[in-house]
Amino acid sequence: MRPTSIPIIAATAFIALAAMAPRIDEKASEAPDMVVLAPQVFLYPMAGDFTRGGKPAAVPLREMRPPRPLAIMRREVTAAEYRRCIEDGGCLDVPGLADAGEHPAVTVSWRDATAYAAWLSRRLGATYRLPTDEEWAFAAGSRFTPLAAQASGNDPGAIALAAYEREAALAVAADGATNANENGLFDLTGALAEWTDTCYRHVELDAGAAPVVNCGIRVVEGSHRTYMPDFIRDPRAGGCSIGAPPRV
Amino acid sequence: MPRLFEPSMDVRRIATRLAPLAALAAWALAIPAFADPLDLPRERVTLVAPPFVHAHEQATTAGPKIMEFRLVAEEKPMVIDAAGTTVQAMTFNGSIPGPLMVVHEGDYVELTLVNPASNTMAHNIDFHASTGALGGGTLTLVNPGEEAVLRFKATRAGVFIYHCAPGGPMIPFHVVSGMNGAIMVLPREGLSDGQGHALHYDRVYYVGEQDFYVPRDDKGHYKTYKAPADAFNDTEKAMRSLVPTHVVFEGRVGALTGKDALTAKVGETVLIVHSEANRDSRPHLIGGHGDYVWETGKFANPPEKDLETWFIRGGSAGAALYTFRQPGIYAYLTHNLIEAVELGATAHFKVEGEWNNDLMTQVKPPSPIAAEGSSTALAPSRAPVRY
Repeated sequence: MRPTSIPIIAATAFIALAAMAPRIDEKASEAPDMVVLAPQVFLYPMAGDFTRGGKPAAVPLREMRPPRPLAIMRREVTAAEYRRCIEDGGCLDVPGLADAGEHPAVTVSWRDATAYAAWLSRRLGATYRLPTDEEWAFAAGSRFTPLAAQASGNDPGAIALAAYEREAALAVAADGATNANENGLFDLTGALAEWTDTCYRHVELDAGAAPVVNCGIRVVEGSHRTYMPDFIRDPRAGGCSIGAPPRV
Repeated sequence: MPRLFEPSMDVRRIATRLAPLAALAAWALAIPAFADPLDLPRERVTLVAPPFVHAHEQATTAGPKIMEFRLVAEEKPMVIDAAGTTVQAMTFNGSIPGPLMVVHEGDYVELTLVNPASNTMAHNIDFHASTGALGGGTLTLVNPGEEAVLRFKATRAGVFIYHCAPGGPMIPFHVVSGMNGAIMVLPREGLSDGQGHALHYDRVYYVGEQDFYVPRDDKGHYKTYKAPADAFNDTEKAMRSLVPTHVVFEGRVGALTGKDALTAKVGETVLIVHSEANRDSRPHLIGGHGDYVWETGKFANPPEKDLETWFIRGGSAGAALYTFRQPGIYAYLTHNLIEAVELGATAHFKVEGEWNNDLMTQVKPPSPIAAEGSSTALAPSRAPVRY
């Protein structure tokens, strides 16, 4: 049966901001709610595409440890917060911003997100920026699911169907209150995706050649990892010839 | 099945002029030899909401029937995109488009059109498949609280639009508010390739394309209204731009994607009936084709073969037959890609089955570009390499 109503928010990208060792000053009341995570060793599946001898290779796992405590926003930037940046001239207007202020700011590109971080930094006198993919993975903890579940075998039809079913099953978290991870972060694995600052790279593991790095494409995290050009505001337009994504 | 004789006006006129014999003539008209269409077997059809189609025979050896349908004009707010944009929709049976009716050539379509008292507008129905009275429109105009019954003979095989046409600017207003659908009149012997070979389908889907013209406020946000009449003035201005704000299948963006995607199996033959009551469209199946396509939708014409994209003229329906040969996800969309991707006219097929490597193989997965004489080379990068 078809539902009679549709959630306000479509599958779109929004931003999370990380601030490394922020200096909290007099404008602290406007400062985002931050979670500070103590450094710990964690296992990080690297971002990018990896080949060995020209054939797809497993993603290398690295043991990593943040060099210092990581301060990261507890939840996504909201539509109301983003609108304040627009009104202040720090951000461009975006078409898909929800009317409901408490909704995450959606349909923002990496460029929009970066502009927001720069504006917030100026306004609050502290350094805010997008998290790197490693930082996002560390903060997401048990919710970090970088690898899209693969159908067994190499049947392109079965792989496409499995990916489609997975996407179709995603739901937007209407309220972050019930889905915090063990670090107290909300909305990590809903139908929305979050920008990271990490550039796309393709690594040939055998040849010893330098990786191909393209910073016009950034790593996007959420229910699984993907890569999108930095100017894309609506992930439906992220290069998929299928067109409109599964409805959320 | 004996050929039926219908009482003609000539017979009645003769009866009138021969007054002394009027009683005898009346008696003569009443005897079974002058079989009235009402004596035909009747079949009451329960309609189902698109994209599905009520059960029916593709070919039939039975004689003509009176096929009874009931459409209820339903005015109600409907959400047409993921942002929650809401229009005061006017519908047949509550869905956009209205349900697909299926009969056979030579059958009689007997439609009861109901306009519940809770509605605010007059409605009627114009069947492109019918002959006379503006497609039945002048015989079916019903005010809230009324119903009318129309019977017409399905004399031409094909897929045809039906739509509300209550006069003047109300005609486009009702049509772009959702009040349209289609009827499929199958040849009694079923579909054929035009060269004597029968064609069959394992599934049939009805895709109704709808263009919406939703007015915006000063800030560019879509406006909402309490009733269709409240929406009319603004909507008429938006309609006159001829630029739709939404072009969708089944009444809303994403109605045929995700959990509601259409399904099929490799080896199955699917008939896709596509209608657009107001505006041109260009259906295309990404990753597949139209094996047999009745682009203009009329089955007395031989279908075209192996099409990549076909054309649905505004105000018409077409039909495409395709046998899926490869599993996976297909997009069925209008190949004005702006309308498909930006405005919503995209559906998906989920097709299960075994991959055919002969038809397609990934010879080399995405990898660094191999320059001559070396195994890898740097691809262009928009920013300095920092690794």
